[in-house]
Amino acid sequence: MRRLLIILVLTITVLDVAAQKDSIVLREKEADPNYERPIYQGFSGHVDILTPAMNLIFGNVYGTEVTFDINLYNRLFPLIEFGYSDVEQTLMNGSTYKTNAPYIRIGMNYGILKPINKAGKRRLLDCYPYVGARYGMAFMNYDYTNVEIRDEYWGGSITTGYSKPFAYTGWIEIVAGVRMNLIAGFTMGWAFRFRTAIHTSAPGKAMVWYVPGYGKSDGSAFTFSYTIGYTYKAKKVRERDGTGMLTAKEVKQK
Amino acid sequence: MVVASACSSSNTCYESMDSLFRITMHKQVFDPNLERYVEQDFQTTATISGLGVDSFLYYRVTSSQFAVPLCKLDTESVFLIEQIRVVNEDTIYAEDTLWVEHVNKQEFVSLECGCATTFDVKEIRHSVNMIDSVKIVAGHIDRTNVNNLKIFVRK
Repeated sequence: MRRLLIILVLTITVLDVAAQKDSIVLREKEADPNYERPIYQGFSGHVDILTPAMNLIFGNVYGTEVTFDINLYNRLFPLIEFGYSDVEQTLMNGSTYKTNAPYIRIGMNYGILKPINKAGKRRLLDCYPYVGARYGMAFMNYDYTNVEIRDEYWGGSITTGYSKPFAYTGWIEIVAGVRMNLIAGFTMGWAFRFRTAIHTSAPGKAMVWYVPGYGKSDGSAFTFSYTIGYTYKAKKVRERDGTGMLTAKEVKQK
Repeated sequence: MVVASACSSSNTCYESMDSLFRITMHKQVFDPNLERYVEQDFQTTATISGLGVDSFLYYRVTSSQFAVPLCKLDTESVFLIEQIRVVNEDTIYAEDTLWVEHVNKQEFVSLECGCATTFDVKEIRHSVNMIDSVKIVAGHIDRTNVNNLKIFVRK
């Protein structure tokens, strides 16, 4: 009984200390130097320019993608990416795979650099390294043509084909990249992406040989993207920064 | 976006695409302890070929297990099974015909590998020179290593 009482007192003490710590953390967060105010800092739109360039070289995957993100606290960037791919690939065995489909990714980037330094001053960031995660979805149809069935022993062969009007395919991406300010609101960025955990409503992963927005479905994939776009800063941020990006109307009002 | 697949294959198929019809040879022997006939594996020396095909699937191979391909583009496969036995220093050649009627289904595996054919056995008939009887163990034939047919040979 005595032992039980000691355990009870100790537990209460530990919980009380933990609660005090929580309240301290909460107060610290209210003035967190890691998150710059105001909450909404602006938004940006970017277009992938590497994919069309690679299409000109390799010529079997056509399409591109655009990204829209919102800048929160100069640290968090919830985003949405849209793209479209048109793929036709013929293998050495003569089988051809075709798909054309839109895809979408939703996720968030997290800026690695703190927007406020140790002295409490704002950093003027022209280069934002970030890490992020995405969940991607492609809504695709696909066609296999000229698939040969050969009987090696008994002899003979026929060709057949398969098509599916709709299949949903999803995956996860881990992203690391950099975005840089260029001039007058224009920004560019590049990123490495690791894609994995692909799943599909098709009868098997092999059925969706190439997934728009993912690539070949038979394994994880590393990809590289290069984008260029425009970043629109919120009015409060522009005024604070004095970047000269105000519209004529805003200048008059000022 | 440049895609570089990791752990991915080239245009080559690395999977086994063969759906083989697996046969085991048996004989019935009388067990005096149980006072009834029991089944026993039987090693035979056999030459197996498809009817109308020049090449042999097995040529004088001694085993109790054989795996043969069914015809992917037809619904019947006929095999000639010649068994060699030595009885009292005499070599006996006995040829049987095994006729298998099946339903074929083409299953797409991948762009690299194409289709795998699976079969469902509808009926089996045979001659009775050395074969006494047959028993279908698993009527579905796919790429798994499952025994499909037991052949019981004459004593």
